[in-house]
Amino acid sequence: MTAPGSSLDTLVLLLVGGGLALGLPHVTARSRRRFWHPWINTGLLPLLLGIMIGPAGPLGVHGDGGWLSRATADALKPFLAVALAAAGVVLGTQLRPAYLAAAGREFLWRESRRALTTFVVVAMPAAAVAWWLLPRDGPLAGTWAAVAIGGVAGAAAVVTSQRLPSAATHHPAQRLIIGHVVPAGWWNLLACLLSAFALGIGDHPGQGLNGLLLALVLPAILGLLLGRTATTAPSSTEALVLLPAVVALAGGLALALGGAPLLTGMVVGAMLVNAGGGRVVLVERAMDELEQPIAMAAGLLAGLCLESTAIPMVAWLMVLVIPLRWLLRGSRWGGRIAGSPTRPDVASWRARLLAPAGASGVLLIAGASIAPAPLPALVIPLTVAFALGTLLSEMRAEVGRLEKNEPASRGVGQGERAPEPGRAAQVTTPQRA
Amino acid sequence: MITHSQIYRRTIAAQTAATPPWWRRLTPPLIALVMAGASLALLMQVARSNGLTGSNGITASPGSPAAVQLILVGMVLVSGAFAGRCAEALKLPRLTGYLLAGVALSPSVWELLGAPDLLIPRSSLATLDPANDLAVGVIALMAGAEIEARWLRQRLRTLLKIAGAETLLVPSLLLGCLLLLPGIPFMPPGTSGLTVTGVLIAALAAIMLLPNGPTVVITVIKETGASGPLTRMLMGASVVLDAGVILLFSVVTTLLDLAAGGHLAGALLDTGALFGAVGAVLAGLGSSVVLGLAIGWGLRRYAEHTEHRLGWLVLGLALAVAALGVHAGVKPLFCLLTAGFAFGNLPSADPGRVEAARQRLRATLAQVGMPVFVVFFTAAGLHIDLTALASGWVLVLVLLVVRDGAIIAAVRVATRGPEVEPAVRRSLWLGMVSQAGVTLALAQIVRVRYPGWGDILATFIVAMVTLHELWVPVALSWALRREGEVPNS
Repeated sequence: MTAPGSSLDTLVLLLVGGGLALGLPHVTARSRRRFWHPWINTGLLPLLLGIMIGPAGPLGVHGDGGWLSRATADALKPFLAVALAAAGVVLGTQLRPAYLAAAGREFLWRESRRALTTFVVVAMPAAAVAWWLLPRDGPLAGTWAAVAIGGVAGAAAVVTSQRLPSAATHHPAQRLIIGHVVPAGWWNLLACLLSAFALGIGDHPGQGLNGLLLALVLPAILGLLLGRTATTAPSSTEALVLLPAVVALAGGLALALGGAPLLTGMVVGAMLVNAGGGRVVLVERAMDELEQPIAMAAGLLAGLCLESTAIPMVAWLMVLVIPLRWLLRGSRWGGRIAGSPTRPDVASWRARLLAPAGASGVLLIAGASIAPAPLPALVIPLTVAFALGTLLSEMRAEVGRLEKNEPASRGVGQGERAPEPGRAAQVTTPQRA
Repeated sequence: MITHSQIYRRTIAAQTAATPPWWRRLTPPLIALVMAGASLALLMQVARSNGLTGSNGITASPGSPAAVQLILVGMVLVSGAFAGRCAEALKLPRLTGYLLAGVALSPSVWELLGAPDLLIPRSSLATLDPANDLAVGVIALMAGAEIEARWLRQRLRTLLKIAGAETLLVPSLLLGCLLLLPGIPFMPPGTSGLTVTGVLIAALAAIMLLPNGPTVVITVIKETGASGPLTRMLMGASVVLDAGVILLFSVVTTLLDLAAGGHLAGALLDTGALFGAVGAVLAGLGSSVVLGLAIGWGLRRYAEHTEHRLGWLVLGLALAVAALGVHAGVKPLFCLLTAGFAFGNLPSADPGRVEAARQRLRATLAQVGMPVFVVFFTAAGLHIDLTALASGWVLVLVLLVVRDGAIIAAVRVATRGPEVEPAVRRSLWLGMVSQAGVTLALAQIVRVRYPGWGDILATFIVAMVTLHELWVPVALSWALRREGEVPNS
């Protein structure tokens, strides 16, 4: 095993980072085929790449596998925490009453109920099985570990790509946004929040809910102060300075508290927009540019930082989440109790059934990869499940196109974006904004 | 019917309404600044206290360096940005605000107030070094992108005259001063000014005081939006002079190392060894230029052929060259300067496309440069050591007067010809007396390479840089306005 910062590690990081920065946007821009977009823009391909060359990977030059030494991978963990905190800030900025009001109370109630039902239907049995199968000792054992695993499983059933179902591109854009993009964004937001809570409880096993509450209060104070500060920033120049400041502070606080970075970021983001009022729009605009780089960076770093621990049976059960999703979204009885965020009038049942997890799924995996043991053991099974889901979805879309004799174009919604329920709703319903 | 007096009164009223009084402009950013300071104190206590301890494997212990580093960067950005706005409200350059914010947060100030660990502990300052490297890289790229080959060919003679005059006059006078003055604090014990080591240390100090601050010059130019003969000459002269300084610094440190090992006499007699040492320095510069050309060409190809944002790529490049180039003997400043120059000046079959790519690069650098400048200058203010300044203020003052006087004289002599514009002749010296990035970087190298006397020398250099940074930006932006190079001034 080489020391951190050795020549090989430096070369590997330079090649991978440079390759991603220069190559992947080029691929997505040049490629006329949709196949690679969900793999690259969601961060799934960087995640797979990171796992392959990281210390947990099968391609090995170091003693414990991989092209990167364990020490260098550990040194990258703070960067992963910052990427997750940044993603949390972006997600948290959507929790603004004005946006939610624009989306409509009926919409919020209906979609929240369905998303939460899906979450509970999967999380409860997963938590019960985990509680039964997990050992009773260790850093995170028993009830808290079962709750965290159940939370991750439930969230994995809820997250859905915001990329529009492939068979639905002939619909008008507004119909597709209301029928899929906005509900999927809301489902993803709830899933990230619930999984972050579950991982946050797991981060403070000795302190239980008190630790979690403190880990919420301090980011809330920080978000409030930053929001009030942002109200005096009148130009985009200040927004450009405030954006990295918010990300650095949220990441630093998450590291200082030792909590779930995604949760810390979401609390900071939510308080920032609500305390800052309209002036924070400039910061939000600057944040929009961060979405895709964050997803890709989080995926890559999660793969690189993954520890090569033994994967217990309970973790492999996570693969069953994907068939459970299909069952809930595709079958008649499943659709009655839970369902899919996509409305039947914009996509066929096959498209809803096979909708991949998207960027939020990769964030979920990244959150689990730096959580305490045994949660990192969920990463490989979840990655396998999401990769299979994405593969099947894209194959199905390709077959659908061939059946209809359609050209393989990029179509609407090719880029994977983090959820923006309120903003999209605001665009589509200006009279309510 | 509206009379002239009514129009006059309305105009005055509109102007008064458009520009509120200074205290009203100052209040919001000042409140924000105070809030930022309070947040910094709170967060630093959280980061360093034994409150919550996570079990996520990142924070093995409270006070994690990464947490402190991130919080420090975040609060430096916030406080610097709002201090910049405070300065703007007082019609001062933003840069002055960044520096003053750094001074206000500086550990040495809080040490004098009896609360050394309230805001930023002295040991945490080194965590901002990567931001400094990044800033130097971005600024070098920015400077390179601004220089046009045609203008450089026309003005090369003047530029070389300015750099040559300064390189001859300033270190000579400073060297004489350091050798003649008694009780120089950074001379090692038992080393008088007339020993070989003493002369070399004095020469090193004199060379370190020679470079001007392209960082300050370019930041003031970008902030004011200045353009014209003085602006172009300022950027060109800054770059040419710094190239010479880096070369001289490398040669003197090589000689110092030989003297410390007792091999100097042998090396001086052995011309092969001497040429070898100088050759290594030149090889480093050559490889920097070659790598810079390759980066500039590649970046231009990328900008020409894709519509993707360049911001992340530029930041990554600057960081990679700064962090990794040192290990390969590459000088980051030279390398990225060449890259910026090559981007806009390498021959192309389609000049229109090159110009469009250059505009994209400039816009990108202006965007990413803003937070980088804030961190860089606020960090410069943080490094001020008031205790050292108080103990050696006489020497600092003497060196400052000698240096600035020598620079003024050198610039006056070098810009005497008729081909030089009057604005350049009158005001160029104001940019050339500035000190910033290169000097701070050299001070950091000396601090690490020569523990003991190197620490003391670095402290004096940083004190001089801070004093210059406080008044030069104000004077330079005033001079640019006076010479009519700032639009709407």
